[in-house]
Amino acid sequence: MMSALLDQLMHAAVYQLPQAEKEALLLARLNELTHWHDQHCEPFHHLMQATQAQLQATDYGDLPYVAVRLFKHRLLSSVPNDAIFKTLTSSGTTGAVSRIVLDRDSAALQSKVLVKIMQEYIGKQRLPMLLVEQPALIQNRSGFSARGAGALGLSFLGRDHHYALDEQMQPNWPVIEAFCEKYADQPVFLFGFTFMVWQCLLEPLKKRGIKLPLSKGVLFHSGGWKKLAHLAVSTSDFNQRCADVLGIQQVHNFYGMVEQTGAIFVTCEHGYLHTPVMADVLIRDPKTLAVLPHKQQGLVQVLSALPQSYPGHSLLTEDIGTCLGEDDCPCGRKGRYFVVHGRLPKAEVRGCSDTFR
Amino acid sequence: MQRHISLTTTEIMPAKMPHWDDALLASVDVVCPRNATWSAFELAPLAVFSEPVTSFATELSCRLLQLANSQPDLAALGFFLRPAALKQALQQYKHTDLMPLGLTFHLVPSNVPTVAFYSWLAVLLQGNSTIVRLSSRRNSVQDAMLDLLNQMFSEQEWQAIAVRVRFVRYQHNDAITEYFSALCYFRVIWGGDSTIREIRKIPLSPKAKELCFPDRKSVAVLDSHYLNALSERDFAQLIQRLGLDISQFNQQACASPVLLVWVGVPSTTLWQRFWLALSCQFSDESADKLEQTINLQLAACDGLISQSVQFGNLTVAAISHAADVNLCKFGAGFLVYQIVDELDGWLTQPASFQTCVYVGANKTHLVELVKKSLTMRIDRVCPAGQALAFDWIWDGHNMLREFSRILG
Repeated sequence: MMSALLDQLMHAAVYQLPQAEKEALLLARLNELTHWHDQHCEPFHHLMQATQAQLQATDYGDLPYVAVRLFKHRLLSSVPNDAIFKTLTSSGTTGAVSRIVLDRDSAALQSKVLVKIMQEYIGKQRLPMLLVEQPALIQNRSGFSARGAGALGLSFLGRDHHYALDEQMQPNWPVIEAFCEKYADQPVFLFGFTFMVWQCLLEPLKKRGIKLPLSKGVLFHSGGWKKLAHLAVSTSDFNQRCADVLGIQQVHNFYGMVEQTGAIFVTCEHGYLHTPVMADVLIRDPKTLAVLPHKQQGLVQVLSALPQSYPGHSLLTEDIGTCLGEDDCPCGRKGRYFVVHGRLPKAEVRGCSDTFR
Repeated sequence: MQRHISLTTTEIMPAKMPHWDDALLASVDVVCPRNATWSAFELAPLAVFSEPVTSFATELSCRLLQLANSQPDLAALGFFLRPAALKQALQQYKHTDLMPLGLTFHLVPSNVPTVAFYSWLAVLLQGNSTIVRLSSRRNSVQDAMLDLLNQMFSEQEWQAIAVRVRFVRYQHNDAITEYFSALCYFRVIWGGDSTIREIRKIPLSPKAKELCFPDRKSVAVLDSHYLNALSERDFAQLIQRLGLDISQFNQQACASPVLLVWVGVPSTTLWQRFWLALSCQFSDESADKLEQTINLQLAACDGLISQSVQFGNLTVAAISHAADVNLCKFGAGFLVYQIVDELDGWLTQPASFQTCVYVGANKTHLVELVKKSLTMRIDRVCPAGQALAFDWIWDGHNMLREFSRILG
């Protein structure tokens, strides 16, 4: 469902619209999506009816939202089965899997937006790319795991792809060496999942006492800090290590989820996640689900102008975050900026049905 | 597992097993009686309702009641076992010749820790020896009970009981479950459905009986006129009792009402007052509101509910068909309701409820209606505050008769 509003958002500069202006535009687009899904996704329609939701919200706080966990238990689709182009899956820690259906338009739109956002950081040129992954993950495209899809989505942005890891997830030293020889002190693009970058690249490099000559490189990483927090690695430890062993100064973390691919949130040089023009966040009180003012910690609700093939334009996540403000980040980017602290601690699941555990 | 089968061909259970499969049992942790051996485990039963057992129950009741301050759940079990009540419960079997069965094997849930002991005591009263497989998930109530039992079993007086029970834990291991299932004369599985399905794949001795407690849901019936007429004090007390019935195990106990049926349209004032008061009985842990929303949204997406409303810590939604409660996921303060003019019609729905908590003046009337209801299954009618109380009749089974045989 392409629309004039979507066009406007797609043509706007990613980080330059002041919040008020952006919000008016994005809210109109989100209302359009609520109506669309209400008409095209029966479970979503039932949900709107049962909760007497306002299909035409007057501000972000009124927008109906879907709990992100629903995608683990129900297949929610707003397109006919024969229009499904691919189904993205993500495995949660509990074993339940999110299933996100994309038609051709949605998939293309996601890629386009991802490129647009990434270009803000790496420029329009396709840069030589080093993926902190094993080659098999990407080449085996039959199963679209979240990890594979994430890496695949970003690999569009690079050229001459090198895979830094071998099948055993160990550094593939000859490949790394070849990449560095070819592109020493030239602009390059590195990507990996946060924990794997640390465990499979930064740690082995330090152990060997090697410093790579990637002074003009940009590293993007994503995937959560939970495992690193266990190892007591902070953001600044991580970034410092990147400078020490890779020579890279420009390190960006990003927050995104398979349920809202495309419009990702990327950290600026001050370490804050920024909302691009086609996406936004708000924070809700975990106890009441009421919208919280800036600087207060709560559940993150993510909004995106993109999801058309499934009702994922307004999602209540299980992550805890804080919105720090809007239009006034020292980096100069407009719109809201925020941080994510981690998952909401799970309540103990108790039931009559657990004899055999 | 053929090597175990020979044991089941003995028609009469020997007093002691000729030999236990020590290799297999090495991975079974006997947690009560402490340090008890398998060779000392007595398979020969006692007589039904015999004196050593009733004395033991009396002493246990007494010691459990002393824990009232620290362990209310255990004190409730103690109250249930108090001599006068037990004597009355056993009275009706005075003129029946009941005989014990032999070894029983129980698989119990971890969430309602007292079930393990309730299940065992019913069997013990009927003279049988027991293996109880406890969940590996430990729990302070269960630990306190095991400590108390271990103390009693270290006393000379209770040896006849101690030799006839083994509370065990073992990691998921079908071979061990199969071994005990081949040995026992009665297997008791406390649900849920998926557990029952799993365990039923494991063969049971041909001469053994089996009793399963599958997933059940419960209901509360609210008489709007009765509620309206209650004094402030009685209303508050009622809400507290009902709140306990509903929320105590995060709505997961089979006997906790998840559906509230209003008989007679409540006034707006009563409606607001009731739900708000009830919502105060629910905790406001932060994870709850999210879980509540997820439960609500799942039911809503499936088209099961309408008219959802939030009252403080509670979300309630209207449901069209009583049987649909089986398709909903409850917990964290999500409840469903129906409003009906009279119960007769409601009771003709094809649905099944374990417990029906009755909030109204005329319980007899409800019981009479339930007796006439052959479509809807209701296994138990009780007043508010009693849903989770122990009862020797459970899921329609008489626990004091189930584990014995009648001499013809």
